[in-house]
Amino acid sequence: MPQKQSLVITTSGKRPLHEVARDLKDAGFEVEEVLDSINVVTGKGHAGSEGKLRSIQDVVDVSGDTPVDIGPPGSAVS
Amino acid sequence: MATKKARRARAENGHSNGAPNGAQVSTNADELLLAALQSGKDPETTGRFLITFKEGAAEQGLEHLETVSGFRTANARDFTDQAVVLEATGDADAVVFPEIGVALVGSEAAASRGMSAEASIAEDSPVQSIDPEYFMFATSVNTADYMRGILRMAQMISTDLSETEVVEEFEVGPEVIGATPGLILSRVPFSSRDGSGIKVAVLDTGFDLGHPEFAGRSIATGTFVGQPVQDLHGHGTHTAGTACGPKSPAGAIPRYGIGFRTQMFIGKVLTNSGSGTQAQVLAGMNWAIANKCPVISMSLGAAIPVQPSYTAAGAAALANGCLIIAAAGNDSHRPALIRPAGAPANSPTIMSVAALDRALRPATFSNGGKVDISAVGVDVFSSWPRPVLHRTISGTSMATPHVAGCAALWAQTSPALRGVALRAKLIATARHLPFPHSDVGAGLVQAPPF
Repeated sequence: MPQKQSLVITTSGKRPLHEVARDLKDAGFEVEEVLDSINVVTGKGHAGSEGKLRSIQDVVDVSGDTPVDIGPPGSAVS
Repeated sequence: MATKKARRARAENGHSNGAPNGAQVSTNADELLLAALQSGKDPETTGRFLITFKEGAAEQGLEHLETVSGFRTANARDFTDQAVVLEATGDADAVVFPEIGVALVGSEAAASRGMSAEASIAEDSPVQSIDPEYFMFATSVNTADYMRGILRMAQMISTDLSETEVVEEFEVGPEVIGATPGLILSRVPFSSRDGSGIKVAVLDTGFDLGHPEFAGRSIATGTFVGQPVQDLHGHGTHTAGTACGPKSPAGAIPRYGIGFRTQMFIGKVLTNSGSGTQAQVLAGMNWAIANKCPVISMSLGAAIPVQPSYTAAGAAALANGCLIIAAAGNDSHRPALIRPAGAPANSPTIMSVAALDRALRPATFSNGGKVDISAVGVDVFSSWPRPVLHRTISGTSMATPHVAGCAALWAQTSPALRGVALRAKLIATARHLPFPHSDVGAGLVQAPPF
């Protein structure tokens, strides 16, 4: 079984987000957050599943989650 | 690195290792600081004690702790290269550092044996003194030095402006000397606006909810990183301070806050170590938009290309009357190297902020390319978690809340100034600077002149 990775799924907002989330779940995506104010769903999907998820109606982008870092306390510039 | 279970004391008067929530020797610094801040007591001390043994009496002191006091002890000599990892000391009541003749004792273990800084010490004891352990922080700003610096800086600005054609001259009257340079240059002290009725979201490392200069303020909170909103990093307290801080801090502290009557929405999207994930940041953006915050300040980012999710979030914000303002990033080394703005600032639906120095030149670290506006981001004085209270730091992170604060003042002037209209107003009123748009955008953000 391929390892799961954190993914960020952006939708067009043309269809109710919970419907898209349901379709994502049916496609094997593990939904963590349904962010209905910004039309984004986050969660975990198997590596290599991006194409399948992208083919779901109203999904416009599937990207890997990326780290955000401002540096440790005491950084001179942040 | 090695871990070692505490030695069992040979004495029979065994004690428990203290309350689960006490300041034990294995409690990490973040937890100690959080507990200290939440207790409302002295936030400078950890609750633990340091026992200093008399010269040459360390070995005797260790024996004393184990046999007389009945402590379970861990010894620095049991760790590789004596590099003690306190979190790895398990159920020890005390950690002994024989090379320096000092022992660290947990709060409950000390209290249960009547140990305190005030307790009398027998003459024949190997103990020389018992003292509270203090938190260690980065050097705080000396207020007197700061004010002298402000006066020097005001003179410098005045000189710079008269010698160059950068911008038109303006007076820095004595009535505004008591404000930070970033506020003065954005003409905040000249504005009659205070941000009343405007919700400003600051998505960062949280906020020091007990900071005395924010007592009585309306502060809504949300956390998206599994940690309390209380800011143990400092970055979030600093950025929120600039955007929403007080007009007249007590004493000789200069004004550093812009929207001093705004309603603060603090979203913790970065942990106390300053890190997070895009998904956590998006969750915070969703929260701020759901709460209809007209201004959303994001002093964070990553050096990655435009992210569709951030662009969608920015579009959703604009559609809901909200404006997301984000830091362009600090990856440049001007003039040799100018890096592009990172995400989320590089999204077309999000306002990107560059940093200027006090002479209104692009800061050496400030990223370029997709830049919409700029503000002072070098040596910015603002709030910091207790007990430090204030710090001066630099970055596009510090420029961003200057724009957010001014945006809140503009939003107060008209309910029509929301989303795209607010963005257009900030750009139209920015003070032009003689540098490429890709470095400073429309120029220096300005507060409403009325």
